[in-house]
Amino acid sequence: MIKITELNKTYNKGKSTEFHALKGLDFTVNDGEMVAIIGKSGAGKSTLLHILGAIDDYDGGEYKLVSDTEIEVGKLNQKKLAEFRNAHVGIVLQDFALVEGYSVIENVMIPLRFSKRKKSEYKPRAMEALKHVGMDDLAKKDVNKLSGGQKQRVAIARAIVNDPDFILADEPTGALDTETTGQIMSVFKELNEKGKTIIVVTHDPQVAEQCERVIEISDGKIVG
Amino acid sequence: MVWLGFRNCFTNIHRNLLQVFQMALLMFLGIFMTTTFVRQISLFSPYSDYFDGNGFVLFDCGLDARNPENLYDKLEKTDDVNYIRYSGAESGGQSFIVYGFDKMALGYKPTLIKGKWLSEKRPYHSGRVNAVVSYTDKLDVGDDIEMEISGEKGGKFTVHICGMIANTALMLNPNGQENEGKGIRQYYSHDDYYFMDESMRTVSMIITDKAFADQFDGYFYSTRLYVRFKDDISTEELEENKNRLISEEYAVINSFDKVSSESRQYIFSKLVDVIPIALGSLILICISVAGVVLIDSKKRLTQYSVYYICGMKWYKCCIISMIQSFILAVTGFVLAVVAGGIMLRITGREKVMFEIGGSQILVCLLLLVYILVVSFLLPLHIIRKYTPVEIFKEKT
Repeated sequence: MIKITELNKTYNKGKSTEFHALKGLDFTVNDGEMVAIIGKSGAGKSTLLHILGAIDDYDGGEYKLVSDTEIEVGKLNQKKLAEFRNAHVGIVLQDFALVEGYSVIENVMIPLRFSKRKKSEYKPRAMEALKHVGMDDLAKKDVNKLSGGQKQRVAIARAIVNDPDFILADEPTGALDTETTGQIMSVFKELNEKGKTIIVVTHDPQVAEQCERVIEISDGKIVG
Repeated sequence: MVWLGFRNCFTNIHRNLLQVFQMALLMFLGIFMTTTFVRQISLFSPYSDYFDGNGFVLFDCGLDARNPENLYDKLEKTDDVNYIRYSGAESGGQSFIVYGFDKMALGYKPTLIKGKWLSEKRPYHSGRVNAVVSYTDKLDVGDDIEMEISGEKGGKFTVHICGMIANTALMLNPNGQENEGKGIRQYYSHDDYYFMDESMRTVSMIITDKAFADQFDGYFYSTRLYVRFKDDISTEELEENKNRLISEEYAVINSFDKVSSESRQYIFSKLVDVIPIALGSLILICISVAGVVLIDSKKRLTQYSVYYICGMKWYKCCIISMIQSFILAVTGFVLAVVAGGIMLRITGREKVMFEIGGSQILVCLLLLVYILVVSFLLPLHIIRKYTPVEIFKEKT
């Protein structure tokens, strides 16, 4: 379970360009939920996603992950935050964020290289993740030669390879056509049906429709 | 982390090839400069302490061969008299000039193409005289040959060839001409085996002075002698010794302090010809290496951001950069050595300032340290200016 309490984030604090991006957010995401976070551009969606993914920090409130143990993310040091990102979170971004020049399987194995898993586990786990997204037959292909939809599948495989507690997807279909969007959302739904918690940040209402709950953010606050 | 650094070497291959080329050039220049320096001082360094004392370089003008040991009785406060003895011998139709090198002469080890140099402590090898020969294609290291001493008294002895001097390599010359201003350099000369007429090729054979004394009973002394005096000799005693030597038909052709100062000046003049250009080039390449590392790090920021979201600490990209640079630097070093080896093969050792010895390895290690420091600090400087969030925002 993800528990957010009075979450605040301000950029450029104390300067003339100070901007209050998140203003006291409160929400919970239960295990196995598929939640969409929607809002207009500049509402604070990506800021929230970055905080949830432990890529960015926050100024006030609490962010807890409750699984086998309770982790308060704001109290973690840099080393523990890196471990948190590796073990508990899988992130999927709009532009896929794949390493050019690497093959499909090399990209999927990246989180494993920072994990505490044995090297002998890397390839089997990566292949299993690729199988989940239907990309196992293209494991050795250079990612530069893939279509947008295929790249996003690889990104999803990388996000799930370490069996994280939840997956964060920031506009995962933003760069894809309608048909491919449908395919990618099907992959997410399949993962969710298998019990994976998924949080999708999107401005696309059709994507939000496919999630079981929608949280609307406007001007840094939850409005719906 | 090691795998990621290794893998970086195979992405953006053109940039990496440029870095390898730069590093090869850097290592090559480093080896070149060091070899130039080492070769210039190698002729002097075995004798720098020896010539720092008081002494004379003499030329024996006497008509008959004289035992230089007599100078101990004739001069005041004599510490050491050094000379090389020589005589003729032959084996299997090949003529030899056999030299007996004392401790002073053995101080300089010429470049050997094979085998090892002589040691004063090991004049014999299982009953056979240890010998180093000048370059010849008729003998090899490990050969045992029977020598027949020339002259009335004759005699035979068996020699074990333990080393062979490279063709045109310098060695201490017991005779030879003086060249003012070159310091100790003038006391070295070289043989060129292929320059001699085939029918007249004489091989130089060097054995220890002890072995020489044991085997030869009729020999010549070198015309050039080195007489070293005790440290407490006065100026008047030196002058007195000089006058006695002249009266005994010895020409005092040089003093030790003059040899020492001329040697240093000669080395310096040789280095001044070469080192400034090489050093300037080295510095330029160092700056260029830093530049490419900086560009490479900036171009890899997105890649490092991906690693960050997958669970890497942000500063660890500097370590990946270091590992990548280490692999490229080692590759560059290998390339430099191969290039140097090819040049040596084509043009020969004396024309190419390229050797791999302890000093050269040390310099290469220092250059490697520079590369690693630059590969860590420059990416660190960049990542401090950006956070992964900013990098992702820039992209979207």
